[in-house]
Amino acid sequence: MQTGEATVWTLAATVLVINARYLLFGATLQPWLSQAGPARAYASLLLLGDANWIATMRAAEKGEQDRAYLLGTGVPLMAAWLAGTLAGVLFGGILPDPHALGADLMLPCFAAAMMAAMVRSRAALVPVAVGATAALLISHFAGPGWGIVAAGLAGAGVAALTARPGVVK
Amino acid sequence: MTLWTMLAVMAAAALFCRMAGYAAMRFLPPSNRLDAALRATPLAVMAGITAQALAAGGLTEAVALASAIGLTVLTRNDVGAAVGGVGVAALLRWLGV
Repeated sequence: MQTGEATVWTLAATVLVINARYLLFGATLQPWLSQAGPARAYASLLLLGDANWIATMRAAEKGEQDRAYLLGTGVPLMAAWLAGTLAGVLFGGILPDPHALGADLMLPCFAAAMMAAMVRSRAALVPVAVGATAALLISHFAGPGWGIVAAGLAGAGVAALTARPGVVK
Repeated sequence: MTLWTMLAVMAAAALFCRMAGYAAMRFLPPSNRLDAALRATPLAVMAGITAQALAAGGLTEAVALASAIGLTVLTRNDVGAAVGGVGVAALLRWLGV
């Protein structure tokens, strides 16, 4: 194993790149989650993941008032993540192939279903088209992680540019 | 460098990403443009995840994702539709498609 300061920076940079999308996810949660107060909001953000972010954004859009939603959906996800990792380490040889069960499509199917539920007007197809295009373009050059960040930024950018200027009442 | 140092650095970086975007929002003045951007981001990210899975996969993945979307439109039950899409993928793979 390499030692020294260079390894620390490489390690930190790698984790920052892998998690860069959560900067964006956290920002989108702020208007809704901040009403829980800082202590509860930051505690909830500890369990921020892809699936529970999607679920929470969908719930908030439907008018969910329970600000524990992110934490409440994060706990079972974390438990499943840890249990799955443990099961893989202990029984990896005898478990059925997760790919055969469609586990790799869990997040994409979840995202596709939530997206379909949230598209209620033709205007909502604009961020869908922009996000899909940006994700495909950027992931081709920089990998899927940056593709997702690019999708969010491009969708946000186009929405901001086409929105009516002014201040929200 | 010890294992604990490495774990602490990785945990700090992961936590930073989860907290910093949220915290930075306090300093952005509210506006219609910001509001529109925040509302569009989840849809764009979900579309990005779906598009990447479509591009990386084949027929099975395309049918599974189309099932998830179709079932959502038909039933308005998004979580059930997502599970249904995964089920379709598992079935098609079991059949050897």
